[in-house]
Amino acid sequence: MGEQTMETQKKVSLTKKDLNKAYWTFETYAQACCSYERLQAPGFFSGMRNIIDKLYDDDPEQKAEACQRHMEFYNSEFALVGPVILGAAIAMEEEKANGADIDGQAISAIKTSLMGPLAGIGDTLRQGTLIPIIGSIAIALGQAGNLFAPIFYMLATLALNWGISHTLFMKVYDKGTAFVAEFFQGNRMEKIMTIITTMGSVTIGALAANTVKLSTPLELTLGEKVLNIQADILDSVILNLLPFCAVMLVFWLIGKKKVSINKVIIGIFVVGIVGGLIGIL
Amino acid sequence: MHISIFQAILLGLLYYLTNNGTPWVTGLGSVSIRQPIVCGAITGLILGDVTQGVIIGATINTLYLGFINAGGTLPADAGIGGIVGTALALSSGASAEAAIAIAVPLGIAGTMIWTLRQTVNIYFVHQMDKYALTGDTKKMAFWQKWPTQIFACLVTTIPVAAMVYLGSAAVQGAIDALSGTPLHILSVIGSLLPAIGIGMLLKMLNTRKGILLFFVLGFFLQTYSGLGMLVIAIFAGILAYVYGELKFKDQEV
Repeated sequence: MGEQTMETQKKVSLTKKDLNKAYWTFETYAQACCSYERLQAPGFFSGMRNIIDKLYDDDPEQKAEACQRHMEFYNSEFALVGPVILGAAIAMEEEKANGADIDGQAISAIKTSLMGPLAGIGDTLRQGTLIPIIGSIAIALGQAGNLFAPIFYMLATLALNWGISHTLFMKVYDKGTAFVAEFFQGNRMEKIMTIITTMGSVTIGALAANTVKLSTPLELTLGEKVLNIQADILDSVILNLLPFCAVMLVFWLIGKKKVSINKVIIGIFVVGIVGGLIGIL
Repeated sequence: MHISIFQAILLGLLYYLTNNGTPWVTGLGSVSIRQPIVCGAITGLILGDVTQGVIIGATINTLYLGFINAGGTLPADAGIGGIVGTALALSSGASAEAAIAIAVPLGIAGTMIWTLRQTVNIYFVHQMDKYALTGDTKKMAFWQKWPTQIFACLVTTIPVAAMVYLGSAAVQGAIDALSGTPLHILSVIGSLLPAIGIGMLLKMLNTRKGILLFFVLGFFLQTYSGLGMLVIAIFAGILAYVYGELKFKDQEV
């Protein structure tokens, strides 16, 4: 574990190069062999591979055990905060290889207990805020025909993801198991999730206002006066009312009524076709 | 615009690179290159019109911005929608909005390829298990990389190459037949579909009391202020921080 002194001389210690290799291999191969049975387990193993090779070089039995340990079911977010788990697992394996009394089961337990909460944080933060923000900026540039847009999207997402996850990975490796205790302390998890879901919701609200479009060309004729329903009635109540209702309806169907995505897509096609034909949309 | 066999195969290979979990240099297991703004631009490059590729890709991307991929399930495959949607729109001269409607069914079809891969990969995982028993890390890494990727490459490249090669004439005919009301209908559908991604994101976020209120706030803040997304995000971050501090003020954190 990093700088901490051990009673006895360490048998093997990992270098920064080993850690970087583990991190980059994991980032590259995390989902290369994803399957329904074990999900990202092979990906996690790929991140541990060079670590296992180095730590258990002279102990075939321990090595085989470590290989099996890191082929156990694993599924988490891998791009933004997930590598934290890899850092924690590497720190524990290093202690174990150096003779600390750590049960293999304990390492598995850390992985399983962290993967759910960290996936929650990572998915919400990345897909709920990071991608919508960078994506919206890139889409606005791209629709104007700016060739820099896709390059900006790639650079910005990769730099943020790799920058954040690499820093966290290294930090957690240094802290080792102390990190895990700190992570689950008090209400910290709940507070972090409250903050990021709140931030995500405001951002997604703005994204919805930008992307979902719906208006009606209907007109009401009252004597000589022609009332345009969209411009004269709906817009004077509140702007973007129809898109707002559409989004809420879709959310209600997907989120509360558990209607499948494909059925909602078909529903939108039907609404579009019928509404377009009879001239209300 | 005519799509040659060579271009069709290149587009198929591009789809392989965007497929979920593809390693190599595709950026976060293809998460980045898969976004239609990126793969649409590369499609444009292959077909000789980068600018239109970027414009069409960006428009298709509005649909997928909210399509989240959580817990190993993929609701719609943005890569196939981005590549084939852009390619068919470019070759048939269809509008960017109509390209969205082309992209949707493709995106759903794409998830079948992912389902197939996740099922077949179970066999490769069992091979890895076999070598884990003896701690043979070299053989394990081999089974993780090569067989999975060769299989993935075949089941992604072939359908997409066939689709763009054979599909461009069909789409051309369909677009010619659809003028006036049908085209208007396609654009209505295309502007409504992003609501699905938003609905999915909202479902993911709506895990705590009061979260929907913040969504409503963001929606109308954007509607009336017209501020850029980055500014909105900064406001959102400050607001969320203050809310979190207040909510957990009296608790030990």
